Amino acid sequence: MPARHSRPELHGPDLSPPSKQTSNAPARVAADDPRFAAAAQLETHDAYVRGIQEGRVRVVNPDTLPPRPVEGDLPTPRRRAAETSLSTKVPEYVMQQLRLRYAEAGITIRNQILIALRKEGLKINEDDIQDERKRPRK
Amino acid sequence: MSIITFAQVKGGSGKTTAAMCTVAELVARGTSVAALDLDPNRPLGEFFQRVPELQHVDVTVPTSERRVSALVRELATRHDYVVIDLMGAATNDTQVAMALADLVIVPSQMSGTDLKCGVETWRQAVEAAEISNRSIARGVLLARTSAGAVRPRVEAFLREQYKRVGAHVFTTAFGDRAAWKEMTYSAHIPHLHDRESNAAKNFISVFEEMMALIQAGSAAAAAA
Repeated sequence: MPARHSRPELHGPDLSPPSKQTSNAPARVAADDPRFAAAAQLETHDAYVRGIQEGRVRVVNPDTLPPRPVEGDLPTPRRRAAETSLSTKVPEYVMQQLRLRYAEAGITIRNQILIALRKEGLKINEDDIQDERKRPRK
Repeated sequence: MSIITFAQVKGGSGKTTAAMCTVAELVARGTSVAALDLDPNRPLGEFFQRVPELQHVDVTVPTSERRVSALVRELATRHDYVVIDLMGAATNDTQVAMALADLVIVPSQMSGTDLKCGVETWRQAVEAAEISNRSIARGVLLARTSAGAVRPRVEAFLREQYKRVGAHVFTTAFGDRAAWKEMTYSAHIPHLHDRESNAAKNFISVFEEMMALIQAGSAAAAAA
């Protein structure tokens, strides 16, 4: 008696929904995305020195240490925005603390205030927190 | 395209293992991924060379001629994802890599030092978002936690401590498994080579939370 041929098994097609990985992928970041300029502001020698002074930087990566600016290399002006004067009164003990911090860390009172305001959410460009007195005289 | 930065100012927290696993998962999902290795020990490139499926991954290391921001911008034009692995310390790269990121992952083990440094890292990420005037998604990833069903008391305690400072902690923890410890010797990556394994399922859950955070961050940025 000839062997009875069994019919081949039926296999259902893959009915799973198409992969959405590609469509879910976030849009590409443009080369001129502002994040790159913002990050570059943190790669300057001044930002690095301030990071050390404020305790954010405790170890230096020798591969990425920003070069010390060479006299004559600095673009002018470094502060980007026009400036206006601001005069106000603060409690004497606050002023004493600001002076003490300047003496200890070398961060000017102007810059201490700008840094504190930036932490409060005000938009302040890194370039505008520069100690202009450290710039070489022309 | 998304830039994912693994940051923790304490070493040995699980940054590099999580970064390796993330790159492997992105490759497993067929996306184009590059890595920037800011750890001077250069663990990423060495490991990827040992795994056939990952040998093509573009691993960049910094040079004195090119800024980190410039390197990442170049990688971002050529790949869907860029994974940045930082040195385990508060370095001059920490906030730069955070300011570039769409997502900052802060791995943290259970010790008090991990917690203290994890909080410091979290605060640096908050500040990086303020400085760059962008919304940056971020999350603390508890690492080397007990892989069993019973969660140790210290894990719940740690979650509470991070919550106190406003840090978001991943629901899924990166469990302590032999597979992760052996990975750099065996070149066997659970979610690349055995997706049904428990270790693979654990990391895939972590990864899916990462992707959800990125998407939520993108939606929030678009709505702003």
